[in-house]
Amino acid sequence: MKKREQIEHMFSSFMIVDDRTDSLNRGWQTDKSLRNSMRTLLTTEPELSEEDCAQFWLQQVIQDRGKPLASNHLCAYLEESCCFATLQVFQQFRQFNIKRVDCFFYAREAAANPQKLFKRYDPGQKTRLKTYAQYPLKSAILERVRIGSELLKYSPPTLMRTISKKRFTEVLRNAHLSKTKIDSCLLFQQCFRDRYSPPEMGTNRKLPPPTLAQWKAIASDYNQRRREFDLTEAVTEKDMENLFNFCTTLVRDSLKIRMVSWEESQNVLELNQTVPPETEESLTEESRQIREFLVTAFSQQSSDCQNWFKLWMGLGFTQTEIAIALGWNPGHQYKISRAFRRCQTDLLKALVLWIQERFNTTLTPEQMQAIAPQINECLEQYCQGEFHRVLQQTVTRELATEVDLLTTFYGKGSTLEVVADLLAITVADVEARVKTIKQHLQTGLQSYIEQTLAIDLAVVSRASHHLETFIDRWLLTAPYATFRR
Amino acid sequence: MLTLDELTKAYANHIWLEFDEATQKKAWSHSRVYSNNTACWKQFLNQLCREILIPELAVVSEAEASSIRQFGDTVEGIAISLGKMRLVLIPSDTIDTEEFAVPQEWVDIPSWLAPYYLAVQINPSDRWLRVWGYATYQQLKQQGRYEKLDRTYCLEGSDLIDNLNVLWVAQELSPVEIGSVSPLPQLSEIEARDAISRLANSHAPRLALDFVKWGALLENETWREQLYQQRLREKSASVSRRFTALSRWFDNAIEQGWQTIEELFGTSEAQLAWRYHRFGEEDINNPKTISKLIAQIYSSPHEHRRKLAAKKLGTIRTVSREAVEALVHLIKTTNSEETRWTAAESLWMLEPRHPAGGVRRGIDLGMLLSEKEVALTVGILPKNDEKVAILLRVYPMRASILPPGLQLVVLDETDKVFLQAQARDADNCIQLKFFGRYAEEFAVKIILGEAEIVESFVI
Repeated sequence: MKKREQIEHMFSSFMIVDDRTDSLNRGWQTDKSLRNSMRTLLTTEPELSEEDCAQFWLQQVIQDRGKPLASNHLCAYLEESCCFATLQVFQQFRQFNIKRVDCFFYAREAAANPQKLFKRYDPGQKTRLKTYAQYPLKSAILERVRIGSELLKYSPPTLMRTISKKRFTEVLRNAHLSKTKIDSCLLFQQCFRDRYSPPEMGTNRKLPPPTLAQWKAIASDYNQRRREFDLTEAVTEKDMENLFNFCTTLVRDSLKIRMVSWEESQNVLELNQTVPPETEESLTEESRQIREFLVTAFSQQSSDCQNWFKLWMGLGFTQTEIAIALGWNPGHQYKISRAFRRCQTDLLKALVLWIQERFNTTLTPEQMQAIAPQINECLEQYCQGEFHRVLQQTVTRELATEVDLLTTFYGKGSTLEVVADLLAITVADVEARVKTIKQHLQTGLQSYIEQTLAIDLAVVSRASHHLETFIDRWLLTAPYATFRR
Repeated sequence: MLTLDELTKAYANHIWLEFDEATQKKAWSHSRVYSNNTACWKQFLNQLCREILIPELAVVSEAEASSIRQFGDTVEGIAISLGKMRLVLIPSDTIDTEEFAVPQEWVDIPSWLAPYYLAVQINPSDRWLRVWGYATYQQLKQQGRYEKLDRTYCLEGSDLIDNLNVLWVAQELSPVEIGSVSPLPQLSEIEARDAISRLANSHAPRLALDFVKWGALLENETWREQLYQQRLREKSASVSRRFTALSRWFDNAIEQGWQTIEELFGTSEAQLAWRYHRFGEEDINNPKTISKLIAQIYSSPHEHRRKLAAKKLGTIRTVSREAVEALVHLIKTTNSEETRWTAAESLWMLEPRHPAGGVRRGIDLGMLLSEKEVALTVGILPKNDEKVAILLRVYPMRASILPPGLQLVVLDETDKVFLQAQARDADNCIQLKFFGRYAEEFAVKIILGEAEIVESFVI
């Protein structure tokens, strides 16, 4: 991925995407007003780092509610994060047959509202804004796609019943309707909900349209309450039906998602499109101590629990897949879920007590919520670390002759052609050797996992997909410089 | 597109629970008795929360959980206690999580409010439920936007703490205290009666009165109960087919008109059995005989012996714990409906309120049947495989025998005859035994000549 190097560029340009080919990162387009604003800032304060600028614009967002300049700078700054969140979602969920470009836009939509995105951000935690934004951006994509795909199964009455007032209001506002029209739609939705509910247990998705009697009741309720909202015009059942059609069309259009064919969704991401995870920020002494403390606390959990975490956080298995790998009934996934919850609660409590004692303070629930992701980050790194070491050993011991290829192709991000020239072989040869290396690594990793965790991965249908993804990501971030020692 | 397993992984901070069709049907059957579809749906979501989430919260928090308040058909939500903690669960089938809307009742009625409110999203079509965050009372009061449209306190979804582990830790280390809350003004007796009669058949009663009056009405337990009963009655008068929801009887939610055996016949269970069934001529008091009968229940390989032993145990004069335990064991383990009901009848006589004896209620059908007064009794026992065993009996009222030719007929969901029995010349009772699954519907028809009475049930 072509990353932006200059600070001025980072806060003033937006990613170009191609809807036709559904590809991201086709270059960068600079917004002149944002560029000028950044130049002014950097002229007055030339020492500012990338993170300083991000924090500066966030402060501006908090102070100047509603002024778009600061929000636009942050939105521009988070473009790589949006792209990374999109690709991460596609890597994690293979069944995702949604347009990639759309998912990127869902993330950008969330990034464009930094007030909401960073609502729970605690500067005291010293987390980089980009790192913090990753989880909410990914969630924004997933939630939007979840809702959009649910919507495809809903009939209009279901839609009217189940969209929240908040989301509905946003849809109406985005359609630039007058206040009176918005109030009228909201009152209609309330009356509709009061009068219309699923008559049968299993039919809440495909509800039939209301009957004439129900339309009359809705109109009557509306007329009874309209004065509370300064709505002067009385309505008939026909008006209600028209308003219903108007509202449901608006909602459906605003939440629609574009599906792509199964084949298209299976297109493996081009290597030069695959983004390495955001580079880890250097740990502060405080974060290092927290990690040390958490690793010790985790090692006191039962060995079963630790092993399950390795599969879950280390390799990306789902809880049902873990149950299957253990030879359990898949329905017993809840036992795994409870064990994880208990372990995470234990770790959170231990960490809260440790921080409270160390800093002689009392943490609020909001602060606890802010530190909780550190537990998952730490566990993820700890659980992945063991498998990373296995891969590194395999490379240095069994694939020493391939270190040059890996360093050039993955470490330096060179194209296949450049690698082929350098090694004086054909592009096809490079591709074949990369494939063989991956297979070798996968076999080694699988046998290590099966032996150390005493499980059979053959029974989990997507186990090889998880290992493949894990190895792909490791290859992009492996510390190649240390391989030669 | 995204499987539940993937959702669980993507939103690992939330509690995700899947439920099966039987649980869903059971919850649905509990909700069928309310006054309109909207009320039934609210109760359905509340009931799913109750059936699925409360037990899970007990496991997760390692504390005892029980439901302490709900007003199912009218206000979404259930108040529960979890160890020392009080929580309100707010279920919703809203598609998005942009907003957490808590009905005002849970915040502004002093005896209803709680320190914590859990946001529960339910997807009945895919059969999952998730707890996606929580808010505190202070948050709702201080940051919440009051929405007069539906009388809710609303927080943005992003204002909630979405990590439930934080709740358990925060509660343990620094529990939230709610300061003093100003009480709602009291309603006079006249105002309350007037409000109850106005709201009895109101479609959306919670919005039909000023909140202060509505809140005061709900806070008073007697008036709340009166309103609830009144609304049930209005519903039964307004629908052509009145359903009695049997599995709700297990939760002691019994519809108007269904009485205990003592209330209905003015006599105890044992006396009723003596009067109508000529129960065991012998009088068993010998401890050795009793021990032998108990041993037979546990160890006899012959079903008829076990059944006979159970029947005889029902006649002992001195109730012993061992005898009760043996009958309970038999009810739970036998595969024979005949044996199960025999053991249950004996248990009714030894310990009428024992939970293993299920629930038994009767209804006086008065002189609706050619001026012959009869009563229908229904007994239900939970079976261990999500089925309910049912015993129907028709008794004469103010006569010693039933009118000859009187028929007891059970119709299935499609109104086809499923079982039937007919009174002979000197029958003092006729009965039918069968079992069904939760949410199944059936009707009971009692026919005498041209006259007939139909009672409809949902299990």
